[in-house]
Amino acid sequence: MTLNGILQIALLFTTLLFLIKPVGIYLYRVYETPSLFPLFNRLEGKLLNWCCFKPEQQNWKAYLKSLLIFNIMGVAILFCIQRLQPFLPLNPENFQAVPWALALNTAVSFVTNTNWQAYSSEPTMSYFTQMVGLTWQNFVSAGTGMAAFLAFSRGLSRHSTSSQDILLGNFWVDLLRSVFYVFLPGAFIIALLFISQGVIQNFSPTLEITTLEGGRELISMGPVASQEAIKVLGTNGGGFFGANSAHPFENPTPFTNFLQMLSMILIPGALTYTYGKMIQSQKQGWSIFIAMVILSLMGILAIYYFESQLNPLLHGLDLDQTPGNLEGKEVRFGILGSALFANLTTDTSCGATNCLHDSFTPLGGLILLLNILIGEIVFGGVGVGLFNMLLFIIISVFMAGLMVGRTPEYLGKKIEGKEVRFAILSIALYPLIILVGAAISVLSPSALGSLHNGGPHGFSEILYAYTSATHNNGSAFDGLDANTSWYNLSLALAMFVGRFFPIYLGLSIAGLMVNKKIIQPSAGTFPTQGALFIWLLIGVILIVGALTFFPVLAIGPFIEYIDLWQGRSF
Amino acid sequence: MKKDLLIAFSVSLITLFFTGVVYPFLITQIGGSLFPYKTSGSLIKDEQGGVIGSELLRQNFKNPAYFFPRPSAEETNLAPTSKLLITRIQARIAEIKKINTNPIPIDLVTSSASGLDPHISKEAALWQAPQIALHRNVNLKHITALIERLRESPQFYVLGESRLNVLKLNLALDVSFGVPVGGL
Repeated sequence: MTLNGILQIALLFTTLLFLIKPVGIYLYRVYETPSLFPLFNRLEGKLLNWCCFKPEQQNWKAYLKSLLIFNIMGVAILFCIQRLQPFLPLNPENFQAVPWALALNTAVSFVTNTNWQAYSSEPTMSYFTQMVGLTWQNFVSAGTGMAAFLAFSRGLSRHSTSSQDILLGNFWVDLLRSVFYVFLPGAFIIALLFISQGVIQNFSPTLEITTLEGGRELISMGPVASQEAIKVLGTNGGGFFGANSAHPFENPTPFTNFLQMLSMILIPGALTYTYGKMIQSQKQGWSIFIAMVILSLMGILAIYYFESQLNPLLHGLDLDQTPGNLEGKEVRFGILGSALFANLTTDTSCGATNCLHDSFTPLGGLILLLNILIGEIVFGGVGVGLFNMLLFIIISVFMAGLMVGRTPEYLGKKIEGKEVRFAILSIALYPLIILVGAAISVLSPSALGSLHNGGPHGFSEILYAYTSATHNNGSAFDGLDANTSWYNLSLALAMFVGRFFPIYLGLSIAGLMVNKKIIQPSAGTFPTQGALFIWLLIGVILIVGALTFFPVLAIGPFIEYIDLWQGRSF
Repeated sequence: MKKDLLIAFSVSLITLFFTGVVYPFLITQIGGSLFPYKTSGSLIKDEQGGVIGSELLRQNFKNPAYFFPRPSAEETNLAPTSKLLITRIQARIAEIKKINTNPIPIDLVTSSASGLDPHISKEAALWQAPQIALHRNVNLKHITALIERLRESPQFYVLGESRLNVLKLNLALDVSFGVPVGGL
């Protein structure tokens, strides 16, 4: 660990802190008071005309229905684009149709904002598939996440006087606003900044060159910058190339690395401010943000420390190991640039990688797993991060209520049995899918055949795959060859359920909450702001989120750690 | 339901057109006119105009009169406890340790995440310098001076690590001391 490393962490979080308020206010105005932007209003009128619908308020069922129909249609369209690839334009390398199991996995993966990539992009996807199909879903899956959050938070903050709970907004309007006013302008600026640093953007075929020494090498090309920008801004994480953000054409300089990390946490962080405005309590918004920052800093300091350690199995060799564990990391980013990126990509649901998570030290890899397992609520994915955080807040308020023996309230509304059951169900769903999926894989010889590492680390690879898919992260311990029918199909199912079931539960909570009577806070009301609440929230996240997985982490990363220091290799 | 499907389809088409077609082509046009060298891959050309590489991508060097980059391993994604990783690193050490008796900087025996890492650390360049000086028959001082001149500092003084681009370093060697003969 170096002073310069600590400075880089400080710089990133300070920049974020300064951007939270302006971006948060912008987001609030875009969604809640769009009349402030006359240009947007005119554009929106046109868009709504083209799409032939009236922006009426929806109740939670109608909102959910629109959301599901749009996303299932997205899977179908993306699947077709991949299967029809040879007949579509912009395919200079003449790639064949993507095999159906892989195409289904990829379609679900990009629609659910996971961007798990069981394929290596260079020899699989044409420019058309990447640009039109995958980039498009990068935008709208991020928009879906924003919409889910908006409906949920409106359910909590608004109050419906009639029994008709029709105050959750309109899914199509929220989606279009996200795409046209948030992600397109944001991605546009970021893409140009990337290009200025050396990220490529062209439609040339793969270039064959003669090197300085006379050898032959291939240089892959493509429209990278446009996809790269939304990949990070929309916390998608699917790289244009197989090497993802480690590829110098995707992430050429330390500055692009910084910008990618900032883009990942910018919107999820700013949403806490937007949320504060929606519930008319900026203090509560900041409290959530501070809890996120504390959890994130704990993660980064731990990973940075572990990745700076020497590998004991290399002791006695004629090596200068001073920098730390550089296997699977790029020199331009160094240990900190890789560790910080890995921490933030698992804090959020981004899943872009600029280093090989598989080659992390056992405990460095453990933190990555933990970040995802606690639910990606530390910033989290755009929209869905705060969405899941609100579920944790409901549980925290419930627990505080149990401790003081009063009916729990949140935002002046009573939290009752049904809401708590739904919130718990959503959080209990993840271990169910992850542990069952990993258990079946471990028992199946063919699934074990995909492993490239032995011993406890092999187990961690499988655990990571189901964790990443279920929580829609998309990063991987890449030593696992996941392009088999079993992994493609089971992971596709995990991604789909892991995405839409919690959205269903959250929106139904919103439907219940919007109709509740507002009660004035009394002396017995547990405050959902301030230091006490922040620590309670962090405690609940770590206990409920992490303890569930303690046994499974013990037989993966922990045993690997003991093996490493006892000199055992596999 | 039918109405919902119709809306879903038209919203899909409109978003697909703007995000998947208009946006990437606009970025290609604007990016290409502002930074044509960068959008096409930062390609380095020789006098005849033939491309000899990209300044962003690693290329292989075997000639001992050139600096060599980090190894590009067949098998990556190996855990720290992997036998394969340990034997691979040992083999690499055996291969290069005759160059210099000092401990080998770790980046020269570990593979990068992309396999395309164009850089090595300053320590790694200095470690290779005596061999370059020997094969090019120049004073070691000149090589270390060249390394110091081409060293890239952390961006804006804080971001990233101090490093050397191997291809640029080797091109500078050729400019200063001529193209090496034979060796391969």
